[in-house]
Amino acid sequence: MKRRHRLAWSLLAAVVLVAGLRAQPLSDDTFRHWADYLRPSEAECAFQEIDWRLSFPDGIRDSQTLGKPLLLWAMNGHPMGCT
Amino acid sequence: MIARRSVWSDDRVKALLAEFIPAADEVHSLQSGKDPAALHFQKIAEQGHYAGRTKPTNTRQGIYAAAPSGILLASMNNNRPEQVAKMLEQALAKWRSLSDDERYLPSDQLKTISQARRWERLYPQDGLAIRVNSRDLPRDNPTIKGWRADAWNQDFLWLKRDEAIALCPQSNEVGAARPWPDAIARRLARLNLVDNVRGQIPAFADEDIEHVTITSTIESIDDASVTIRIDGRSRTVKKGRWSIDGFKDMDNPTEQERGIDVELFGHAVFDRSTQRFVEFEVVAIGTRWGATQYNGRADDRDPNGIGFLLSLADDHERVPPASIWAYGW
Repeated sequence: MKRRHRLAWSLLAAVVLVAGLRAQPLSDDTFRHWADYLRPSEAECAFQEIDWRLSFPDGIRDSQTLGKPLLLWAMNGHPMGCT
Repeated sequence: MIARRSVWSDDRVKALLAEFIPAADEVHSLQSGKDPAALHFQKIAEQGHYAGRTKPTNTRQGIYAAAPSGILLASMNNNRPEQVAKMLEQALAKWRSLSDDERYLPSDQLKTISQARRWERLYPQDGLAIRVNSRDLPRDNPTIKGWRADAWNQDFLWLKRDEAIALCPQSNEVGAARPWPDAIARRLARLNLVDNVRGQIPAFADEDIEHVTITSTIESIDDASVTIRIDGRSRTVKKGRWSIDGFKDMDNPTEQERGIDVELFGHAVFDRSTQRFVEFEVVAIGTRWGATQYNGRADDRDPNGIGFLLSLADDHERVPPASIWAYGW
């Protein structure tokens, strides 16, 4: 029960903190919170751990020279940029 | 965008990818270009899942496995890792059945494809490349579910060397301030401070900028570097008729308005000897509203919080900004 209370208070504190931060102008006090919030997490960036060649021509070149088939991920907007 | 989280972090897909050369690229210029690289892509794509497609759009986006010669091994446009893994296995089986003559390009053809003129050539090697991440701010009563609830995106802002240097006050006085050159502030406001959180969106036009001012102020200075504070505001608003719901209303554009109103704040460190930024971290926080055809906001057009983080791009992230065509470089 105590643990449940602690969890509830932690959640409430987090909500109050976020609500409070939202009401405040950007400043040295709030900057780090927002920078960390906005930065994609390691898990979100997992797709970037793959050794993507950043263009189709680079992929064709390495496919030919390294003797492996090409796997091209082609999207409206560069998959490693704004897609 | 969904594939970023669902497909490429899957262990089976990652293991199979070791047998391939993975490449990522923007499809529009490949499917519509006339240069040798674009034509080679079109040869592959016209054997694939969207071959000949014109409706609802002519996009050729997707995942293609191919021999460098241009023989398609397998393709699909799918965000399910198990389906992609199956496709990769089929592709490998077909690759193994090909002779070397069938697999590879004549060397002169490879050279022509490799020499295609691409936006990457404009990468500001001695200037400044900034990564711009975007994300919705927390909401009091979140109603959006699924991947859209915690979506994020990224784009890039490139500055040539002289443009980057112009962001730092030319003074030895703490407190000295310098407004960003109008062209740079407007480039950021038009092309990067856009609601791309859930998908691509057209840039704002210059006339959509109601207000943008960004100022660098010296916080500290020594022989090696200048530390600056960056702050400012930007407000852009576009009105007109356009579609907002993907294919559903693509033939029925309606009166719309979209906008971004943000405050910017952050810090950067400028190396005095190399005349380059070695640290750069700026946050933009504020409000977005409206929707465009492919940005996943059709049911979420009311004003709500949006944030952007501007930080130094890694040297290997040489991905052209989505709207580099607007740079005039």
